[in-house]
Amino acid sequence: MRLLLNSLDPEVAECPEELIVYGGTGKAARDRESAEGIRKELTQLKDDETLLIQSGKPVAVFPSHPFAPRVIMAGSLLVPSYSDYDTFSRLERRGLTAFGQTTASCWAYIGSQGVMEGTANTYGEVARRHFGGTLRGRWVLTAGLGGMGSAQPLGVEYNDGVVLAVEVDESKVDRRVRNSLCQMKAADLDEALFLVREAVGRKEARSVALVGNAAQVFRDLLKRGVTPDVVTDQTAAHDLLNGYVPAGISLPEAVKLRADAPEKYLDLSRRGIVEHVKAMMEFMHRGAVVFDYGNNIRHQAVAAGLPEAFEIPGFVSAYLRDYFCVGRGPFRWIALSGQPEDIYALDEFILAEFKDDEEITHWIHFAQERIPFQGLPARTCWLNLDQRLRLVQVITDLLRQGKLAAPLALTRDHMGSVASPWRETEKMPDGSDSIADWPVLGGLLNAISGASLVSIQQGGGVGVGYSLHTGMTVIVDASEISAKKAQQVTVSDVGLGIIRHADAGYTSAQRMSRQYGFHVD
Amino acid sequence: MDSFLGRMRQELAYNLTFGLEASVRELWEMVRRAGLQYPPSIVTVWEVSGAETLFRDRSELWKVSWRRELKKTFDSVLDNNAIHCFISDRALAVLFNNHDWGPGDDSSPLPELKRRIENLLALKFVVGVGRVYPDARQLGMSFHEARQTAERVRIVGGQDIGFFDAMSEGDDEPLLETEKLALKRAIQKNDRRETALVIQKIKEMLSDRLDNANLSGAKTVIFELLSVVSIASLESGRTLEELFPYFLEWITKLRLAKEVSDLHEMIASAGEKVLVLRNHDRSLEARMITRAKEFLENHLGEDLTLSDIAKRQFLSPCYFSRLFKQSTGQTVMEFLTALRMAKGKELLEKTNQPVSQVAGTVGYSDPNYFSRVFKRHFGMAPSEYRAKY
Repeated sequence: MRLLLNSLDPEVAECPEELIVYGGTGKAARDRESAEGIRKELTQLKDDETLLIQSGKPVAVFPSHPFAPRVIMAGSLLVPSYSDYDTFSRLERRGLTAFGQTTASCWAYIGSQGVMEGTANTYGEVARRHFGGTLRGRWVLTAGLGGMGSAQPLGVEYNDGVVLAVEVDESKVDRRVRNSLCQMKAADLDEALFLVREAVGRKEARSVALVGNAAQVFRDLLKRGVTPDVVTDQTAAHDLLNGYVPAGISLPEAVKLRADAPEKYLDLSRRGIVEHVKAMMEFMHRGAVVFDYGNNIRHQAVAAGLPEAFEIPGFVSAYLRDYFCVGRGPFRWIALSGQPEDIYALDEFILAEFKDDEEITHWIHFAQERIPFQGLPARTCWLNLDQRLRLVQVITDLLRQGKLAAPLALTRDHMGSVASPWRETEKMPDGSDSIADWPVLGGLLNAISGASLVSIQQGGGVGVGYSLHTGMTVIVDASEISAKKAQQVTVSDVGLGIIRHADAGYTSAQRMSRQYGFHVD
Repeated sequence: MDSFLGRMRQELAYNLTFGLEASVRELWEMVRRAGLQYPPSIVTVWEVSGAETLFRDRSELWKVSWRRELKKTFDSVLDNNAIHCFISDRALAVLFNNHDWGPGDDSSPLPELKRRIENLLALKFVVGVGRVYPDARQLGMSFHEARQTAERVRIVGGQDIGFFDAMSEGDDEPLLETEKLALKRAIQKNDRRETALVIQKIKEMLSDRLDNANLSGAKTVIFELLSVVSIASLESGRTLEELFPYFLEWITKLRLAKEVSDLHEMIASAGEKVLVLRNHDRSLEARMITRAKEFLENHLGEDLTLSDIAKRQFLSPCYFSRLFKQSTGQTVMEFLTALRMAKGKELLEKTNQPVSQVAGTVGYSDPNYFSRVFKRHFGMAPSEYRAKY
């Protein structure tokens, strides 16, 4: 229950009064009544019962057993032939379903830190592959400072670069600056470019936010002959009605038009997104490194009549796949005590235990210095299976020694247990991009391995119809059964990601699969 | 409270108020050392009313003892999670965590605290309250907002606890952000027609609101308008000395206004003032550029950025850069480089300083870079130049 409440904490959620956690309309529960129902059921739930949640609404409590999950969820799912945005929206308006984004409906969202290291790693790989290992003296043009996009400024700064982030909603810009996620807000494009150029010239890390429409600003920059080193985008392009704001209309006008004439709005969005992606491609032709940052903008442009949009590579296939092949991915732990000391105690362990892993130590030091906690104190860190198992053991030991104030929730982003042909599973070597068996297997496996919460969802990140993914959370306390559950579910969760990539033909994943004994002869 | 804890709390209050703490973890450790459950999230500024009279003819010893008494009273009245520090002889910053308050401004403990403190000290205070910042490293912003609000409350009068939020956002927003920006830009662009149009629009917008507002609210509206005019005028080259008579006149009129209708006239005259201010003296820009050139000549040995130079002129870097180029035909950095080269040449001719020292004297920490720039300017390396001349 603390995780549900945490995901709706005003410090965490984008719009808690509407139950929206992040990512356009990603909700923690379907409606107020459902949220209250979930809260009530969780308060009464026994150790041998399981609560069922259907798209954010509590529907039943079944007798189960202590090793079974306390909560299982299915969210936003539709029969494949009907799995499109229009059908989903119609059903959502009728109150029959809700969009859960990725970590919103399964209450694993912890604010910007959740994707921060992933963002830092993405830009780190960009730096390694194109700029000799650093973004020092380079600048990144991006857009969108929503829940996911707000990790970009620090992600670029982490790699010593300069970023100009365009965001249409001024209140989001102000919020990011107030929360130290972005250094400064420029008054206009001239000032923004001045600030960017000054930092690039001095080879200083700097993040600048500009209030504006991304497509418009991108085009203005092209007209001025300005070419950034890197261009990407994290606007809410996955949702052309309630997320994306096309060029030429202001945010208040957009809000009104969405309600008054949704068809007209969608038409404007489609045309706007074509121009937006054309601008990104023009930057690419002028020599910038351009990539899709997982908001499905390329596919939206293709659907709107720009087939060449797929010339732009996706960020996972281009930069992050190698991590997933070896089972390294976004792992996070949340202190249910609410005490930062619990997180700092584990930081100390990680810094000592993994001191030879420079990526990990650099990240922990950076996080301690720069990233404020939002809601419950939490830490995210990309760890491999051995490291996760070691951490689980230490958490159990520290809890038993009374050195942590309360149990912790272990969870992760959905990047390893996902089928998303335009993002996480794009360009798999065997062509299995759209095979959706893997996340379902992952969910089932986690449920029998001892996870406390398992969710099977669709549409996270890229929108309805384009992805299927599984959430997992396990609560670790000092008990024997909890330790066993946490160890077992960690193995199954990471293991599934490894065998999915091994099955697709990645030799590094096949090697890992053999090493851990997951493979089938 | 023991003295160690007291020192820790005061140190934390200073660090947060003046934005000195950058690391999330170190901040948390300071919070714990200060015996707090969680960091503060909001700054309030408490200024003693009528301090001029109170401090008149008082000895330094009296002031020290008075401050001690003030501190002791605040310590005794504030709850364990609030911390405070002096920000001047007669004002304190008090930092709270708004989690300790209920929802909305009405539920804040400030009125009750103020009443108790005033009773204990037999003094009156004006209190400005900044906005909530969940990241305590940003509390310097909350402090600036609180100070600005306290000042506004002191000038405008009426209520004696002012909330920055209430004065700048929502339904009670004195001027809309868009109109403020439009007015500021029109003044900066020296566009008389646009300035007149924006002023006219603001007058129309405010007309109904003023009629429906109470005197204190209406004064806040006018104060906001005058602040925009003043800041834009400063940023477009006028000096504080030049603007001071206008400030004084406006503040006096604001103080003396007894009815809302008195303020209508002020809007009209503020509009005229804007135009007069901008139309007043084109040579202001020339004077500002002259000042900037003088500054560069006197500081050419320092590691200067455009931001540093612009800040000295109270201008945004972007605007300053544009103005400098318009006036001189050179960018600021081209001008500075030319100055440095001329000085470098002079030192090479007139002194025996080694080239590396000359480079340092004219602001280049890297002698090789100095040599390259020198060669680009004069067609020969510094050592060649010295040998030749």
